[in-house]
Amino acid sequence: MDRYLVQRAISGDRDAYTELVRQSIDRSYALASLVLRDPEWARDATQEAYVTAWRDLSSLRDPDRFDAWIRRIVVRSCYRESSHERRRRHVDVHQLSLVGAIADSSVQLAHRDELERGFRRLDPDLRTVLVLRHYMDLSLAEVAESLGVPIGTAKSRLNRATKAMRANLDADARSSLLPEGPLA
Amino acid sequence: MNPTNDIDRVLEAWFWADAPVGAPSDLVAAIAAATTTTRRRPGWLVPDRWMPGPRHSTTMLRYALLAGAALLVAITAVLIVGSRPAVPPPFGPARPGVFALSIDGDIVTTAQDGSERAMLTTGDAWDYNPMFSRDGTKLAFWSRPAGSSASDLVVIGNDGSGRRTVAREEFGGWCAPTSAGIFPGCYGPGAGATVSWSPDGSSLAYSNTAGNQAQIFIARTDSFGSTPIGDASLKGQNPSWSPDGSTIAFSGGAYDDERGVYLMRADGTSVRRLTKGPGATGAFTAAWSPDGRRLVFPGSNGYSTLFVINIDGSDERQIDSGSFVGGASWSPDGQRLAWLHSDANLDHPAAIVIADDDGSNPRSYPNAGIPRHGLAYDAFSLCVGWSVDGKQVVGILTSDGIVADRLLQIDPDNGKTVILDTPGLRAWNQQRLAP
Repeated sequence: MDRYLVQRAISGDRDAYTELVRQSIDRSYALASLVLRDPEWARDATQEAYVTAWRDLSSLRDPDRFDAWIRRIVVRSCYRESSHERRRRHVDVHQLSLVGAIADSSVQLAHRDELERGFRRLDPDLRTVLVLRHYMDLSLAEVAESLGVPIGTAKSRLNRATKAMRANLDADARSSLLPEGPLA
Repeated sequence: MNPTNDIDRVLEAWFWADAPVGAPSDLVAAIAAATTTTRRRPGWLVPDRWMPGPRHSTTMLRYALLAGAALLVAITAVLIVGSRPAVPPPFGPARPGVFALSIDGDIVTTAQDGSERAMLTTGDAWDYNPMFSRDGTKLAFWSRPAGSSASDLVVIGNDGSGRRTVAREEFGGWCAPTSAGIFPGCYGPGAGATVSWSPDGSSLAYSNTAGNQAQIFIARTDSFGSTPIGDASLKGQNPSWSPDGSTIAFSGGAYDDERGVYLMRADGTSVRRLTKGPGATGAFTAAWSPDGRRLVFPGSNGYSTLFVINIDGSDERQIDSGSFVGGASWSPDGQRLAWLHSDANLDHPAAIVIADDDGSNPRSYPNAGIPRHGLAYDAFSLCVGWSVDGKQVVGILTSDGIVADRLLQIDPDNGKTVILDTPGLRAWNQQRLAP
């Protein structure tokens, strides 16, 4: 991130801040989208995060830390949005619209539903740690910073998330082997 | 596919396949519009500025939280302590406050030079033997209502306020004060004369003796009532609380072969005899050294004697003997001892003896400008002791060998004396103030 741009934004330059938003928003939105599994929720969370960041930008003392700082705000915003939306409604996984999905040979379309179902059964904090680690490609220390927890906590949370995801997929696989209709 | 085989790789691939390529095209504009109506917060108002944020390591987080907690504790402590008057630690040298004196059945305070005299109690009740709490904020004394056969243990503030009766003599009626203020046949602390404050000021230990009965009691200062503690068969007397508050020393033993100084926990359990040699007479209080490691106590070995002993029972040593020896106390710094010594009868004045903490290098102050009949020793342990700053030894003088009437302050380093005329004086105690 352009340090000079961040410094100008900190000093109150709205144009500079808009430029910062433009440069960083795609990754922030992707993070929110992967965690929340809904484009509208992701939009709301991202917008809220950037407005909050603007409001609190004068507390950022090291301009070089802007990326990590905004990532942490986005994570918190996702938590908030997730808690709101869980209370409001339930969205079936098949209603998800995958914006701009990139085909990848490792993930066949037939298995995406399994992954989606397994992932959505995780709590938001477990989803977040998996996205930070496997999509954002952050080190454990950076994951911990983004979550605002000690490294040990981040590590154990990552292990827990991985195990839970594996268990969900296994359970999904077992259920798919059962015959359809009532058991005789 | 079996997604559990390499879930990390699968998740990474799925996330990349599933992630949007970009944010909605109007989102930047929406954010820009929202920021125009959003007011910036000053940096110091943002919690993240004070809580470790992304730029800090988690170690820094711990340090910051610890520092914050420490700061909070410090601020709280300052607020609490700052709202109270400073008090001295319970042991060691302190700044001298006022003397509390029992004079003709009332409690009077006076400055060291005799000025600023104030009556803390008045009336028909006979108030006697005042004793300041270790922090100097409260005063305990005995009060015998007119016509009553038992005395009340009373606690008041150091200005006389907040009077509270916390206990009543259990075996009262043995020795009523005469109109002259003398307790015939009741010399010494046996009849509820002395009390010992717990170092934290929450409780008082005292003994009550009448006829063949004797027992040690504990009374809390915030309520009325007392609890007998220890082994009743030992007929404990003269309790003295240790500096750390864990232990009470007392003189006990119903028979000659079991008389001596005993220790017990402050709750009355784990009673054990400390002394092996000649028994304590039971007339005086064993005094703790300020570090809580030794006791000085009176005994009887045909003559009146004085002993020093370590609290583990070792090094029990006689340091003086005479026709009367007693009233021993440690200097506040624990470096010296002072006691009262007499080789003869009342026609010969008693002397103050000051010695090193092991009884060596005794120096006697038999006259020191003290008029005939000299130091009164019928007030026993209350009649000689150190000023709270350790600069003077204080005693009570008598002109006729019977009635005490003056307060003596003697500088042990140069023998210089100050005498305050206090007719009717029976006992004194000095307030400790924060240095």
